[in-house]
Amino acid sequence: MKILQSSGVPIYQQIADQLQADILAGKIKQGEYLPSIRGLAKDLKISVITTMKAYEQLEALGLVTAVQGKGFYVNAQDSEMMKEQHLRKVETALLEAIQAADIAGMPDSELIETLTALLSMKEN
Amino acid sequence: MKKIKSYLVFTSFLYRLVMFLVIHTIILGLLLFLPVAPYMEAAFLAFFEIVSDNWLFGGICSKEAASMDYLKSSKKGMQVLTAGLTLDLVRRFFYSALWMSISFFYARSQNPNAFLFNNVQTVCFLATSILLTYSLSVAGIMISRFFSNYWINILISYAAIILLVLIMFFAQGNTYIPFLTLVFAILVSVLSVRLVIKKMKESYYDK
Amino acid sequence: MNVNNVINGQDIKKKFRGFELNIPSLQVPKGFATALIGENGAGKTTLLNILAGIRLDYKGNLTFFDEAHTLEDETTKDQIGYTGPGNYYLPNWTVSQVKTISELLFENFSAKRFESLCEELGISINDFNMKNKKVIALSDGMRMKLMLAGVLARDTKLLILDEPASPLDPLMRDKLCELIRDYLDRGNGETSVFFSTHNISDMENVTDYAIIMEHGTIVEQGFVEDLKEKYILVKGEKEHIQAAKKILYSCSSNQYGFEGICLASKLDQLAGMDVSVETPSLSQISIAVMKANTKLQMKFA
Repeated sequence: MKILQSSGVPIYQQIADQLQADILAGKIKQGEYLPSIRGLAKDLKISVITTMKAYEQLEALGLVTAVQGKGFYVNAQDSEMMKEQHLRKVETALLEAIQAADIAGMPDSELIETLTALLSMKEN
Repeated sequence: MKKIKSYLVFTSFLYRLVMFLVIHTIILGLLLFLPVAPYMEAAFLAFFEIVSDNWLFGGICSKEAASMDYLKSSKKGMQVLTAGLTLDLVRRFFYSALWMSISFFYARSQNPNAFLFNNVQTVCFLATSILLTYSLSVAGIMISRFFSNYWINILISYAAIILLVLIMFFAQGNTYIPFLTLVFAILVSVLSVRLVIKKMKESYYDK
Repeated sequence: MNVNNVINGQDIKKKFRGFELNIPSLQVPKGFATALIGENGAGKTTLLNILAGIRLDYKGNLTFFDEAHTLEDETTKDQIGYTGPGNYYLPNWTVSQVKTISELLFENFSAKRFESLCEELGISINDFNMKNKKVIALSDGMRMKLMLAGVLARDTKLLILDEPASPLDPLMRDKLCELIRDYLDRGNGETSVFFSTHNISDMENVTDYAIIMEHGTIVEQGFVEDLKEKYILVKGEKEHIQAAKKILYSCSSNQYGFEGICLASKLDQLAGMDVSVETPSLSQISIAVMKANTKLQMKFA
């Protein structure tokens, strides 16, 4: 795990993001425990409260569950549910774009055009 | 056993070397080669007892040592210190008794004309020299512990030696001086321990 | 977050000459490293001495380890390791005597662990000269390391360290942080550290909770991550200085612009000004809080 001290992204956020990626990629499997809060703090040379905050964020996302006195274990990652979650994310982002276009008075056709243009740019 | 340990932990390597080993060798040497026993031995013992205390509890009552934080951070600190101080007094008395007796009887065996005492006078003289050597050295350290300076110990020890030899000399054959020295010995013993413990207790509070 | 306390205090009061300590409520969280921050004379050492049981002239209630124990209990002092800047050892003790005395003073002191800690910290305890060196002749840094080895060689649940970083060099400060993290890790939530420090930035990466003191009382406290959300670091152009000063907790300015700490809740009031906002470091927060509370009439440009 890489921690950047002055990247502008809070350290707890960096930890949470990297662990989330590891969990979603299956590097940390279902039922496995995350490293202990204080153990990880020691290894990463950061404070306990920072790792704790990262873990709490993962817990809030439903990725892990805390067990009193034992630590945090990785929840079953339902692939259907994950897809659903991602889909919702896309929908929210698109909705935001539509609203923004409305405010700007952009016709729907132009919005679709922009999206296609962006997609083709990504393909190239 | 635990009390002995409490005493020993306060003794450094140097102190043990000098006070458990070197001192006996020197006194024995003095006894065999200088025919002024037991005065010389008493003076030397008192001198070393006072000077060497600088390595043991030197400066413990001084301002620089007054807070004794490490001892106080243990629940056993005061107990260990009291045991150490007390056992130190026991050792001092034992040394005094040992060497004053040996040197007195040795001196008398070497020179039949010296110390023409009857039994009572012998006991009185011996008691005086043992108690006086002991109590003057304790009185000396009691004062010197208020200073962490080595030279103060030496200065005090000179004063103690002069007093010691004078009193011992004039007390020959006297029967009431031993009682006075006994009272003095008890007084300084109690006081010397009390003073240090009082300092420790006071350091828990701002004055 | 559900946190228990290793130290609970109510109405801790002490008066001495011009100084007054008055802490209505003190909570030090269990399982974390807590920093005690404040300017000289704020009462940090007095408070730590009271907590370590080496000062008794105070009023108030103190309990330790989930309110289960007081300092008078048989076991409490054996569970607390204290290091301090005062006359810690007796002036005549030698380095090797510290070891033998510690064995006698504390049930749970391990001579073996002490020796290995000494070696780890660069005190060659098996060297004849070092062994017989008087503690008083050691440098401040060496003495600090010896004190740390002494408390870490015991099985304790709480370390109270008064200014552990000050006498240490940068390398050793890093080592100190490592030792604190290791101590917390080994205790797995049962061990806590409470230390005072002026070297906030050196200790920031090991500080979980911060308590800031000024003239004998606590003026701010909280988990570092929460404090970093409570306060923001604001930077702006010169022309907004006067307006910003009213909002900012502390503000320093020069001919190019200004910089200051303000409560995140007041961010709205900065609207309309051309400012950039950052997350402050603990050190920046502490200094701002201290500046806002200090009695010193210093000229802060």
